[in-house]
Amino acid sequence: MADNTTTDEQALIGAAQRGNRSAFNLLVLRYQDGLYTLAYRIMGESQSAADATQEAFITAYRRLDTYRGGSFRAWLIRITTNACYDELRRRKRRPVVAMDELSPPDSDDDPPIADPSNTPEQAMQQRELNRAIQDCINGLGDDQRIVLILSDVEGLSYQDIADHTRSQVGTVKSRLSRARAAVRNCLQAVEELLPGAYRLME
Amino acid sequence: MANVSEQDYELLSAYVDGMLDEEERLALEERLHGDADLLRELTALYLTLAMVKQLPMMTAPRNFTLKDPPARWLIFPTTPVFTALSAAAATILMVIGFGLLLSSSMSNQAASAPPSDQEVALMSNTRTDDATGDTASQQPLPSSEQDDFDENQQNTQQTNVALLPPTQGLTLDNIQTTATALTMQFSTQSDESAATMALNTGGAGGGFYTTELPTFEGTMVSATMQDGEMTNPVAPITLSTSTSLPTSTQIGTMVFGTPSPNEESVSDTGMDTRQFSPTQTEEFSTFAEESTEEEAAANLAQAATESPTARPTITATPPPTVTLTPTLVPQTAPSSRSMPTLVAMALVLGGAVLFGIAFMTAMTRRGERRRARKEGQ
Repeated sequence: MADNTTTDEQALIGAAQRGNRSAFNLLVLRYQDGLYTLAYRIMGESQSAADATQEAFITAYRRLDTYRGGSFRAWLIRITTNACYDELRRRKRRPVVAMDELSPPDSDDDPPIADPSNTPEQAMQQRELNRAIQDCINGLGDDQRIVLILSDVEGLSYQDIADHTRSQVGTVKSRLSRARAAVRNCLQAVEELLPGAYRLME
Repeated sequence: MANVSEQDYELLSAYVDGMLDEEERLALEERLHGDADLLRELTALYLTLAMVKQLPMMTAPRNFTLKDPPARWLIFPTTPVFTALSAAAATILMVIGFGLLLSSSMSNQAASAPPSDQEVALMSNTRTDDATGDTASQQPLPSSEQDDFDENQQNTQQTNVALLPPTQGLTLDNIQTTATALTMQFSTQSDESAATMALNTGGAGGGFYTTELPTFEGTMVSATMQDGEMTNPVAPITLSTSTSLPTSTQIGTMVFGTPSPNEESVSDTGMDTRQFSPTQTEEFSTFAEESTEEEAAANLAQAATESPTARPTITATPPPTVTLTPTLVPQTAPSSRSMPTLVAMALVLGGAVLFGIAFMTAMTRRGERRRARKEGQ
């Protein structure tokens, strides 16, 4: 099954490289949720995440000829990370207050498919937990946040993260350690929101 | 984390990721058996990672599929490089074009300004040289041209050709020395009117004309003087359809002046201001044939005694007075300036077109960017 998917993906990539926009759009539909999630975790709000994701797909389509094989997902993650970096730099030049910060919390952190086994109370707790974690991540610096997301959310290796962020493996190791410690301390401050299973952090 | 150093926490972080080598891992695990705080931090780290990793996959708020771009009406590339090159080329073309236009207009203004005396002299010398072969024809007038000349006689025209300066007046020595250094005056014997044509040699740097004669036709008679006597009158010299007068080196400088009753009136400056009536060819010819050498010699002798610059006079018959009015003719033809002007205008026009292309490509690129941003929203 995985082989078929890989073969199908390589065929789509080849067609897209020959200018077939429909083939590329099939790849977009396949990866857009994951890349948007990555962008949202890095950017911390939906509008910037959508902008970065769109920019990432446009850039990917224009640079398809630079794709030399390997993991297409990793290639897209790298492009999305760069798009997020660009968006963060733009935001620093022109500070704006995101609508997410002014409006009530939306359902971005809701699971896409509600677990039918969860009671409404459990679903509410899960939503608050996710928001608390995201807030703690948002509190990190850009470099630490990106390293944490790429490692603990996307599951990239230290070496891949170093390649994506154009840094050394030792730097990645150090940033990741500090980022995890910061999130751990942040979550400790909101322990009352944590489920019982997570209250062993003290 | 209070009881764990930052270095130990980095080891724990690398440990949970499996990034420690075997030696580091064994050393850390040994410490974990005896260090409760270190073990507690490791547990907390595991829980933190579990919470972060349990963050759900989110659903994209919309599709990020790429739409087919609308058909572009602009056939030029919309890259910034093309826009910049177009703008640069347009600037260069327009600068060159406007420069040519400016220089062309300045040259036109200079050409339309009245020429100075020095400029006139240069123009005249050049023109008379060019006209030597054409205007000083030695052939008699054909009958048809003679008829035209008759018509011209009916249409009285005013001719004022100045001789500036009269350089060499006619002296007997000059006459005896060289036949070309001749100032000869022909005057008619008619009582009704007198037509006097004066030939005044300029020699090198001699007289010049301030203007051209439009359509002058006539015949004059020249003679050769030797030893104070006029020898055989040479064949009549016919001037036909002249646009300028013959050069001084050939037959001297012709001076036409305002009508004057005095046949031998010479101004103080030496300029002849006699009335000239070009007569018909046969009249001059007849006169040349009928004039005897004795009469000519007598006239010359008389003139020589009266004045060192006296001129032999030959009088032609009555002729209706023809005075030709000279007109200033531009030195340069207008058609010669039209080409640079056209080229300059073409350059300016091309520059404007290139500017338009650069502008349109820039606007198209901006529109594409906006469209992409809208699609992103």
